[in-house]
Amino acid sequence: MDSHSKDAVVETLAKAHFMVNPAIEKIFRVIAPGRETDESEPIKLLEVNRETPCQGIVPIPFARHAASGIYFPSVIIEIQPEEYEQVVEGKLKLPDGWKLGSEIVRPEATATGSGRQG
Amino acid sequence: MNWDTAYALQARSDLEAREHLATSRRLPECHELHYVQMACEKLCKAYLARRGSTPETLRKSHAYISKILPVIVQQTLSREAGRFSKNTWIVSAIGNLARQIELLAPSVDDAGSVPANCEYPWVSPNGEITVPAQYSFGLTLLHEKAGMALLKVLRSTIDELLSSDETND
Repeated sequence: MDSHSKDAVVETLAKAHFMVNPAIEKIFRVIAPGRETDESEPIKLLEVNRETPCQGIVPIPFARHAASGIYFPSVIIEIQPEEYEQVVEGKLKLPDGWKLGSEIVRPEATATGSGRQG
Repeated sequence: MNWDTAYALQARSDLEAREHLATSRRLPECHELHYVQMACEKLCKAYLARRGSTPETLRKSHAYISKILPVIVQQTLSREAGRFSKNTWIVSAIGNLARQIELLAPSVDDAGSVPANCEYPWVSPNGEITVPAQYSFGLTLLHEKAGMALLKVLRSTIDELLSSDETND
């Protein structure tokens, strides 16, 4: 896979998030139907995080950061596991017509668990 | 000027004010903490503005620090994920700290259970009136590793927001 492609950057970013934040249980790609292949369309990740406050869908935008391999702008949405269930059931809607895409599998080396300070 | 730039500029100024106040041993900690809380709030609002939140919505939103700040830290650390792979406690610790900072605002009080704030006197559970300038907030984490990491990320993120705005102009 071309490391500059959107698919590759999605994998890179999700893997890094799993690595730095053990509270993330699952990560899904979010798709903008009809726009996802546009270069200007940001990568969008929905992260199921047991430590995030339960406040619904709050998309947080980030600029691209080519120096670290993030060649596209990105939008991160963090939700609680019970909110994820509501997204699946259609009770909690994603904005802008976005749809829930495929799950990004956690790398084996980043198993869940609470990290220790030090 | 865009709203996100405006909020980022004010966040930077709040952070500079906090640094000035932190070096004064004569002032109570409520003043330093007040500026930390305001800097965090305005940085989070800068991100919300970038996503299109209206000025009216931004003025009314207060309880977003614990939602947004840990994600900003996570995104920043992710750029150097190899270096931070053994420091997985940082995002969680900053998440806890972010909630404590959020509660310093008088408008955020966990449904009345946390009346302590940096600005206005409040009635304690024992019925006595308490003054912020005479109160110990117990936010020692701010001066430990997580707090240092948070302040560093705040500075770098604000600078980055403002430089990307200059680039985009």
